[in-house]
Amino acid sequence: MEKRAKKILLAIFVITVIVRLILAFSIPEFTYQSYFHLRQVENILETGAPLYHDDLSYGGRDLIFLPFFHYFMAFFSLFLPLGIAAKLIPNILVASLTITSYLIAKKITNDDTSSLLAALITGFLPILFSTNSFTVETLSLPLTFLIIYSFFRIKEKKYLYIYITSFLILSVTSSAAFLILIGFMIYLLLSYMEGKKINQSEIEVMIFSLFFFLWAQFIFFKNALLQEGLSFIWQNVPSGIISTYFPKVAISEALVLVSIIPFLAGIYVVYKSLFELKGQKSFLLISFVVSTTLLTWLRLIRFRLSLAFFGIILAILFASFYQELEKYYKKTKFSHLKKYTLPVIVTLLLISTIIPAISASLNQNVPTKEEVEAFKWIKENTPEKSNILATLDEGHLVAYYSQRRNIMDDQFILVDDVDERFNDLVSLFTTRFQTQGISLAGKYQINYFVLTPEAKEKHEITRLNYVTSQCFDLIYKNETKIYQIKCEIAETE
Amino acid sequence: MRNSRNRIENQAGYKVISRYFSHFIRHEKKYIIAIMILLFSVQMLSNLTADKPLFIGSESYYYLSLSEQGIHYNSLVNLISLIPPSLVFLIPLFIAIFSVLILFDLSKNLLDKETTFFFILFLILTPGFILSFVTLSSYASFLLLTLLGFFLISKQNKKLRYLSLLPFILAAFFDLFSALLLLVMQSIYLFNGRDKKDRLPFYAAITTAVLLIFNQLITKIPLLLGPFHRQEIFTSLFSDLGGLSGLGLFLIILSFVGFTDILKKGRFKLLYLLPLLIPAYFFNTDIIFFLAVITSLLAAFGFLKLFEKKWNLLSLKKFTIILLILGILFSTLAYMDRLPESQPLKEDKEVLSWIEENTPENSVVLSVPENTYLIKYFAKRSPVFIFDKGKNKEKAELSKNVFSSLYIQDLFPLLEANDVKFIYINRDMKKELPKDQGFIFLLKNERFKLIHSSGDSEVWVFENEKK
Repeated sequence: MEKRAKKILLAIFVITVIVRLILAFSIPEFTYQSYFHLRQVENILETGAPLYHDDLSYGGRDLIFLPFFHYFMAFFSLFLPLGIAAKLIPNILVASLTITSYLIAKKITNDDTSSLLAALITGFLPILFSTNSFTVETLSLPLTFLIIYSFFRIKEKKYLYIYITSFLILSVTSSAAFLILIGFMIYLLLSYMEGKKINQSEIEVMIFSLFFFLWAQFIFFKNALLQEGLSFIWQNVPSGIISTYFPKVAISEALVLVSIIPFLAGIYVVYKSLFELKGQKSFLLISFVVSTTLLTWLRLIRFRLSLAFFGIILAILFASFYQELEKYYKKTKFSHLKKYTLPVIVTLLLISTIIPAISASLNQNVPTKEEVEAFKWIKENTPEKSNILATLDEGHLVAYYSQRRNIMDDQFILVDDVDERFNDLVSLFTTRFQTQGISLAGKYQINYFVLTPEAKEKHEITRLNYVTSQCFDLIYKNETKIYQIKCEIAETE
Repeated sequence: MRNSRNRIENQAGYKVISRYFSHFIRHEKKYIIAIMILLFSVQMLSNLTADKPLFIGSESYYYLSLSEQGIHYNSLVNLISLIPPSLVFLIPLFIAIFSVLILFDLSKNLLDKETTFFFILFLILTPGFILSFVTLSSYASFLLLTLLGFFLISKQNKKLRYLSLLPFILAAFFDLFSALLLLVMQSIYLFNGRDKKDRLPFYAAITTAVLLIFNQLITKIPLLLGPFHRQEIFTSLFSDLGGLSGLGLFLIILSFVGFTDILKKGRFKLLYLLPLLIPAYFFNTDIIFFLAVITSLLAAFGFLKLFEKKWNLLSLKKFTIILLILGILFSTLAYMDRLPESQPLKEDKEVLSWIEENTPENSVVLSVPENTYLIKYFAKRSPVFIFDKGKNKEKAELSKNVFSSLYIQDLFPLLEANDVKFIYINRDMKKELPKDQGFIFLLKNERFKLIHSSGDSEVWVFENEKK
């Protein structure tokens, strides 16, 4: 790597980190899902183990998940307050994707400029700009691309060890390692169809990865596999929200989130590589694009994760596109305009990535300060064994801030009758009938109802229609309202 | 032996296996049988300590109840009748051990020592096979008789060779499918025989063909025995997904590797059975037993293929070997771990015995079809439904209608028409049937009364107003 390229890469990385951190710390809260992971890290710090039995989630249930991310973050929380570590480390990890993207792109193109462009795009991909997200993906995505890079250099002993270590960590961090294996399979298939010879070491690494991944998943998810069978891989997501988790791809949304220029360039490179058979390395990346598309179509990975993965690969493939573009220019009458190509492209990229990225960060789905205050109020003013009604997204807030039992949150695995519970939860917010509302409250032994502005927006209501002063006391009155239920439905003699 | 050892020593990658397994391969029979006895003992002891009936699943109780009725065309039923009841639990273990010993002998001429060892090791660790040596299974008996037949026919002694006809004949009487399978195996043996003048394989095949027709026309034995449990095509294939038996995922993956290997080498003979077995599996998932045998053999080929090949990354190879072995063991242990949860449980036996002692002999008991043979054996009463969709489609439809009824107006006429007086509910039914609607919910009606229960097993009485 040239010294100048090194400096620019470092600058891209540092700028990305700074921008991300400014945005992260300017918003005090985390995304809704993050609170689940925060609780796990806190529990590790207190007890040394994650919460595999959670008394607060769903009123008490067993949980099942891969724990590496939580231990990893708990380690940093030994030196830093969790609130800071949870913003600092994930953002640095995601920003590190600029370096891996550069390295992969350099391996494919052997060109510094185009590889730096790939790093720049990755750094400001709008889909990655969920700066207040404290989730497993912030570790699994950088690991995935580190694995891909070390796979390219698997013949070198150092990278073999990096590959093995990263893959072992990824297998106990996220089941999304599955995406790599499917990518490998598609790579093998495409190579076989095109008569390309695959390196023996690559095959060995693939075999090892497949067996290790399966083994690790069996160890952690044995009970879930036995209980839920094949449907386990669809994560027991209630059918009512399956379209939120695995939405049909809206091209317009995808274009904004992965940025329009790399998207179009990536599609072009994929097309060229598939039909004109370029290097083996871009072939592997294309296999990952195919595997991501396939798994998203089969609803096996969540839409946002697939889009993030897709976006980074397209950013890397953009390097190939840029290299081709430069070569093409040289052949045309406009070769004298070549010097303008880079500034124009950088400007276009900055416009098409940075603005949507900052906008994505500012519009993250996080609870408001007022909502958080309401959940904190519950902790101080309600009995410890209370059950609290809140929306699905707010379930983790109930457990984290209020330290009370929620009715439902987004950890669906191992939950019986998840569809029924979800439908009941929705009915509790939307029903017009008091008997139904109170009867469902009795079913889940709900003591308090929380109605936040977010809940109103989500369920398209202005108030809980069945709430009357005879049966409910308004005990917290702000933008967020908290009601205590007084009535119950009893059988008549 | 010498050749195979040379093969081990000549291949760098194989040294890993050689180092760890040469001892096991040398004493293969002892170890394999010890593992089988261990698995069998663990299962039986856990049943004994939990005061559970010794056999799990419905199939064993089908044969046990048949054995009380006298001589039967199924040789397993006759064997049960001949043996003192206290020793019947040993039958599956002996069937499995003899089958494995004969497999060792037959494999001597067909496979090398390592392939034989891994084939049989994988086989006995496969849930599909484990189930056969902890329960009474017709297909396990069929396998023993078939192997015995081929073992005898491959001997030099003329008398022994003719004696092979006896196990072949007995093997043809389980169901039509087994007879057909036997005929295909005999045909493969006949067409691949070295001595073209040898007429015995031909006579054996003809005898089986005649018996197949005889069974179809005269004894009218079923095409496929059972099913004895709910048929779930996908789940029954993978033990790791909670199937009653099935195959481990690692074994299936290895078998694919083995499959590609034998396709390359052109060793297709074994695969001739697959066009028969795979479609049959879709009709009755108990066929998994035969698929377990073939999959284990293919997995052994796959395992050896992976490690005979020279790897560039030797450390990765060692790690992968360990992972493979751990993966296969994991499936086995996870399966053994949940076997004690299988029905019938202690409370099932208690409640069904209560029915026998406290209800009129001609009572009809309603339960899901899976409990048919438990009711017959433990309660000595007639179940409303027999778990045989092939024979009795109307009854299968009726069962579906009864247990999916949402209203008493639909349910009561069905119960009255079938003279239902007693209803037997157990843990699995409670788990499977919805609580807030349907059959379990309708039990709240005043015409149903809970008259006895133990744990999750219950007996309800239905007041038939017509009577």
